[in-house]
Amino acid sequence: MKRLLVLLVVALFAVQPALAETIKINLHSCCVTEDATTKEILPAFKKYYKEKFGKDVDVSASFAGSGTLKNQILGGAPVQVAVLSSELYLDQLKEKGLISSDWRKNPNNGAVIKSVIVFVTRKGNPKGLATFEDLARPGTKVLHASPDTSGGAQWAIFAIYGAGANFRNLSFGPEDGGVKLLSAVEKNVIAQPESARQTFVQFDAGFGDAIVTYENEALLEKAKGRDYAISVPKKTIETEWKVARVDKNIRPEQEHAVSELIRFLYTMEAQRAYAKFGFRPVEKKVEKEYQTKYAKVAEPFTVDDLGGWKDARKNVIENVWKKTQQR
Amino acid sequence: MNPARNMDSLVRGATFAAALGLFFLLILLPLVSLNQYAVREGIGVFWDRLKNPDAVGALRLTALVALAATAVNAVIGTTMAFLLTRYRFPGRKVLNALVDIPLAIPTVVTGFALLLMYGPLGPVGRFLGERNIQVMFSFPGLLLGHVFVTFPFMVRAVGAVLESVPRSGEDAARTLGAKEWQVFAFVTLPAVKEGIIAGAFLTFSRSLGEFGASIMVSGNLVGRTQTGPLYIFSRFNTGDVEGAAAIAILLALASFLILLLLQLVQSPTGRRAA
Repeated sequence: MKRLLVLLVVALFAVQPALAETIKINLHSCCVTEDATTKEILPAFKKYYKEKFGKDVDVSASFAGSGTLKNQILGGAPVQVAVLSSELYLDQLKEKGLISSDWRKNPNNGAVIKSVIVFVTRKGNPKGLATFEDLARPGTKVLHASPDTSGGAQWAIFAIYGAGANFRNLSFGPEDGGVKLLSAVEKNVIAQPESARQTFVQFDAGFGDAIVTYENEALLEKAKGRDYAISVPKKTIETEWKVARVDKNIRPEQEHAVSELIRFLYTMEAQRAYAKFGFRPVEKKVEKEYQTKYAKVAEPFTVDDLGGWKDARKNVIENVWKKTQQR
Repeated sequence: MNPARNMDSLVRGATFAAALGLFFLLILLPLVSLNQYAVREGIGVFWDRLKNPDAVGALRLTALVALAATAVNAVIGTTMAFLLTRYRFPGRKVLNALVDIPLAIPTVVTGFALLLMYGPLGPVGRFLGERNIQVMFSFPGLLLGHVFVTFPFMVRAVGAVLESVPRSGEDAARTLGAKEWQVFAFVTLPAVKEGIIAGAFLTFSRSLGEFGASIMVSGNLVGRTQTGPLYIFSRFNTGDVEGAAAIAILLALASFLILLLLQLVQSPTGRRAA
């Protein structure tokens, strides 16, 4: 018996080098990317890596709200690659020394997928809600997630503010068009749950006339068979998810697979997978292939029009939005 | 010395040490680390986080909801306990088992169930909606959630006392011509006072920490319907761990003091009953 045990232990160690051939890396990706990532992108990457470099790579992915993921990485989660909905989270990882490289050096300043903020209404859009101004009409009931817990909700608030703002003159004071519109819409907001998913749970239970959320999230709900309508406002914000390597957690043997994975996310194959699941691709050719799937936004704007993430967060959310909550 | 006796005290000592050690490791240590986080940036920052108007509002709301839930359950829980222990009726056992259901189902599910019932899709919600009464995403909705989640505590605490109080006092009152309500108000109720107090403390402290149902039914509106635990969660997510820890410490401390008080109030009567 004892001998058998010893043999087993020896065998285990003997097998070890063979197992070590598989490179293991961990990916943390914003919850909305789960389907595209696990169903298509990771299997495709595994195959690609084996064929091109003759080595097995095993990517385990974890999905949650971007803020939660960022907290997990700060708390020591051994993650090598992160795809997050807000640049601010990447900045925080950089401040704490987890990221030392410049993610803006990746294509599109690190943006690997895009979407726009839209709103979802009841079947056939009975109240005829088409623009963010319509959401401000008295008696309209609006849902969006809490900007304290959801990256998507921060984008939603930027979208509403920006739709009313004059980008050449952002004062954030009471005469600012964006402030006026955001205050009026916020008066109609009946609940701000933790995540975009939870807003849909409340919507399913019959609450609200409209949810302000990512287009991909809205398309996903429709794909599940819900008969909701989607309104793409003529003036709305383009959102983006950024990819970064978490340098502090990368061991030398993982280095190659990590840079290949990030590169792979920009390939036509990965971009098509994202596009299939409702994201707007950043790769130009794939973007063209899918241009009929996505409604054209007449006046798109970006977070840079609001002064960049850092200032937009400070001015629009911590200042203007916060004030709209005090009643 | 008797060797068996010696062994006995050794076992007792070991059990004592193991229980205490495990309790410290599993329960106390996590709370201590929370404390460490709360004051990591200095007591000034800790105090500053507590003074934040949103934090104060959330704590105030938490206390109000806990008080209201305790009051509501003191009435219906006591009545229910009375019904279950003093009367024999068909379906009593089923009802008795149903009382504990709120402990078993995930609180998020509770929240969703309430949304369905009081929302525009539910008959109750439609009835109220036509009269322009919005229950969910407001204080009444929050209260309904808390009453549901904490319901078993009062029933069980009062029930346990009722089981041990003999009916002879009630029977004597009846023979003396007291009406049923008089028996309840002047004989039964004073006898179960201890149970009501115990149930109230448990209900209140459970309500202080309620999260799952609250996040669904409250609407999570900052400064209006956001309770302490929801505030903690949102602070944690924005990266303000100090803010989250500060409020958490306060809630944990409040719960501890309430439960300690309960022990102090209870122990003399416990001895008397024994």
